[in-house]
Amino acid sequence: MTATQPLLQIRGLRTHFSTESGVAKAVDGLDLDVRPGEVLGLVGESGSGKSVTALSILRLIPDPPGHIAAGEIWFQGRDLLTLSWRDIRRIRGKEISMIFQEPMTSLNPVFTIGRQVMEMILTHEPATSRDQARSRSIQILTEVGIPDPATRMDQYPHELSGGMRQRVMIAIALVLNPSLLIADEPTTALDVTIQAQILDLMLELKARRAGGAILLITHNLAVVAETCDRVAVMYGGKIQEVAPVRDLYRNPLHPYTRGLLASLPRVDGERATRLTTIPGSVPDIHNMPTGCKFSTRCAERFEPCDSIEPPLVEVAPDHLVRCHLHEAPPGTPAHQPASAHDV
Amino acid sequence: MTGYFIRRLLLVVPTFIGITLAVFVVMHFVPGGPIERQLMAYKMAVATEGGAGGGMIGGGAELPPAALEELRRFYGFDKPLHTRYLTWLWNVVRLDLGTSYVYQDPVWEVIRTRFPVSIFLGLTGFLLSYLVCIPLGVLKAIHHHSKFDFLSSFVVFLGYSVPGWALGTALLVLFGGGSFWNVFPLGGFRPSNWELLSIGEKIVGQLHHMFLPVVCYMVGSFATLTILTKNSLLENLGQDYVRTAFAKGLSERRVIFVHSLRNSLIPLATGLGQVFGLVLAGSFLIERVFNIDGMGYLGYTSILQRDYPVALGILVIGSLLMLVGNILSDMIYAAIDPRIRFR
Amino acid sequence: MSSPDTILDVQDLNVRFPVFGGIIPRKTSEVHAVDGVSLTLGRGETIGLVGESGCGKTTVGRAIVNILRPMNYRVDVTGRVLYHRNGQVVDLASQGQASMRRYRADLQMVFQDPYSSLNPRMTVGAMIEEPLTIHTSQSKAERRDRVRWLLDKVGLSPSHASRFPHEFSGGQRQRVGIARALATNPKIVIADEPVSALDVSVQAQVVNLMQDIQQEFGLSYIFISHDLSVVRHVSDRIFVMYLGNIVEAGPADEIYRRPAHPYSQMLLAAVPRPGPDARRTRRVRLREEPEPSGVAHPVVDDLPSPLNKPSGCAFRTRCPIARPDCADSAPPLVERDGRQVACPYTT
Repeated sequence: MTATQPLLQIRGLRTHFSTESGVAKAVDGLDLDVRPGEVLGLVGESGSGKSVTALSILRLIPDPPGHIAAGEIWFQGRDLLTLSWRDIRRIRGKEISMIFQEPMTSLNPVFTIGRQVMEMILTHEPATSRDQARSRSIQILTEVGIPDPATRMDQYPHELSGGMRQRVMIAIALVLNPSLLIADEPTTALDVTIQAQILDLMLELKARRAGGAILLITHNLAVVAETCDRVAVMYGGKIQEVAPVRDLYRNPLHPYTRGLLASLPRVDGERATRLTTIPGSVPDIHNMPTGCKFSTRCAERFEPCDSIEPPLVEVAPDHLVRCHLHEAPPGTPAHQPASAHDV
Repeated sequence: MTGYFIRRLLLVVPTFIGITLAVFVVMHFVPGGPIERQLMAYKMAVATEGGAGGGMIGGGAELPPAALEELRRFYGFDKPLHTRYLTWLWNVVRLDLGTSYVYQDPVWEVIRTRFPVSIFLGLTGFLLSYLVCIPLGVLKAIHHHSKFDFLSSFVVFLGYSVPGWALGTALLVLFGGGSFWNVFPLGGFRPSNWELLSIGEKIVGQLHHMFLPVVCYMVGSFATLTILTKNSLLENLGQDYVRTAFAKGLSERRVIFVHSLRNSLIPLATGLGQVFGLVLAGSFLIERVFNIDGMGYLGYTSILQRDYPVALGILVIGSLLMLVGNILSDMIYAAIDPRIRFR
Repeated sequence: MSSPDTILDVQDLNVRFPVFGGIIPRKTSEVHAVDGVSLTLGRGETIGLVGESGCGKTTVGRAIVNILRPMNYRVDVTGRVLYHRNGQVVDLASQGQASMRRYRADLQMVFQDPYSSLNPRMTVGAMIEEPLTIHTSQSKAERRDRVRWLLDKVGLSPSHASRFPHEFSGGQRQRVGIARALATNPKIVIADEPVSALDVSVQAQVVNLMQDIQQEFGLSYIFISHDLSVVRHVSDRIFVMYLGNIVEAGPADEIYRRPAHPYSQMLLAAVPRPGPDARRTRRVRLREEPEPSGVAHPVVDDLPSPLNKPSGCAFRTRCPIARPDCADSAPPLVERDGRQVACPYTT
């Protein structure tokens, strides 16, 4: 356990969706801390609940069909889930901002770039004059590396390339200096050379604005390895493993994490003749296993796995895992009581 | 883009010739015509005269061949079809639509006297539909699946499924005359003592007379526009840029009315191009029910009575307004949606 | 160029899409999507076509199977696509749509999006059966047997034949797409981003399946992808494309170990690598990078529009070692160090 007070503390978050085939528990008991100034990667495959987690933090879950069924999200001494809509609106964009996967559709097509950047400033700092807002917008567009920002201000999103649009999204997200930036698959839709530039840009801007943290949500384990300080691996709506980035890649503990890392083809090193695979596919969200969510695909499954969900325990300093194979070292205070093993 | 619109304007010429030529040819081949009508009238006259004597109704009365030839020359039927079409077209180019066979007045005068009725019906209908349907559609989208949404859908679709003239008859029975409530006059476009009324009385009188016809004229089109607004807004509310707008901390009001509405009105605004067409608005059946001498009635009778110059005159004005209206629609489209580039 | 083991020999392939404009519509310019591409494919070999979106790699695949004209009849395709079949050589590019049908069974495609490339209103069985009905004279019973056998081959159950695409997961749908492509016993499979839409754990399964099938049926693959790590894993040889040109071609291991063309270098450097120490490399760069002004470099991150391709070497606008004379003429592909490189100045 670290001494620093987390910037964002998620406890027992459950976000459910009512669908025709029943209740989909997209996020089902999620605990996660984001520390000040860190880049935390939240990794998972489609359906793991990573994007729903991100949207839940700012209460952007479309309701209906979704709703946050339980949990607490502590930020600056307040539980975001109990705030009034008015108060959460003051947090959105100002304290916690967000960028999304699709730079092509995430900007309003009928408003100019300038209007969309200025709107962020004028919404949260209504005392600002339009001239001030405009010059601050040009300033932030310059910072995110947009050439000729004064001209770009008067252009529409469709006149910009995908990479440029994502830079605009970053500019909008960072113009008010939020303490947390949530980036949901920010580079997935971009070409690999543009992806590298956007990731560099995000890290560079973060380095310049001391104290800001980034929650990077992605399916790409390589992106995480290059950009994050810590990594949380999600599966079946729950965190399965959290560790500093080096620990996770050097010593992955959860069979799912190990399976994911082994299944990646590499651009360097020796070429494998055959990729290692994780058998099966992600279980149906309406029919999750009762025990460990990964038990249906796990090669190392043994008798408690099907029926008892293991707790998330700290098995090494700052390295937490949710797996019956790994128990907390005796004498260390467990993240949760390890009594499940006794059954 | 200017090139595109110039091209579109140039295309009006061949399209216009195509439309009028087709109608001209069809008119030539359909049985009956002004001469036949004259003959009928002549026979009727002879029959009535000789009715007391022989009772040979419509029997042997024939026009002398020379008189028939005279008639043909009078109507221009002695010339071949293409000559007649070209003569007619040349006259149209010189803004001469000819003289009505029935009214013996210039066609332009005959049509023009119906404009007030059409404009009143069309314009009030047009304004009302946009004023009612857009707010209604927005409300329905915001309260999607609510009781209000369901009930209003029921009402607009009920209106959609009832023919205007049938509703007119029902309304007249209920509110016109005296069977139930004597609220509205039985028919007519204006109070009969129009010339004697003051301005205020004219307005009241006009509204009083036109209320029921306008309701019937509009009732069918409410559904399309309302549902179009609702679906368009619903679709836009699900877009990524709306999520971005919420994540920026904007109020729901601003997201809906500034960000989404602008986008969802794009398909509706294109209908504005057809506003010119309003001068020809009319519905024969509704005008019949309410005893109004409007454009619908004129068009219908001109065909029945083989009053070709009037029928073709309405066609000329109507098709030109429609063709220009389409181009105007595209211009509006290009003006309000920055993504649209016509080439 | 072609050895007895060559199955496909593409020579100087050019694809131009006309662009129309003006008051009276006429061709005002064109997109030269594929600009003199030559490549060979050996029997049982896999070649990888890599490059960023818009580089023309997908168009090359479509030109080879001659489906560009049915998609856009004004497209201008020149060059030769020589298909070596039973000792004969056929130029597929010169075939009309009728005569092309004879060869369609031999060349099949697998597409990226398993969601939209399957007909949602057809059962999976009917979809796999369709090419058999078109290209073979098998009886209904024979075709049914073949469908069941194919489903088994791609790791699905024969009972899946009566189901519809929406009842399958993404990985299963891509298996269906592969079964459909295999139905006519093809010799060449052109796979356009076959695993890009799949989750990591499923992607590995499909890649393995494709390799198993290649072994069993002796297929030749043209593997088109922007994912350089997957391409490396499956390919024997690589062709790197940039704005319609091949800028580097050679054995996969060689190019990945030591990319020669500045574009290949840039592309490979941009690929993130998973590993415990990956973070450090970027941190080092980060320390060097911030400028005193606090302003990031305005980066030219855009691929130039194919509508106005830079003169000479198309890559010169983004190239770190570009010289003034790079604008003069397009450098040809030159043989060096066991590969072909289109850059005279790289070291």
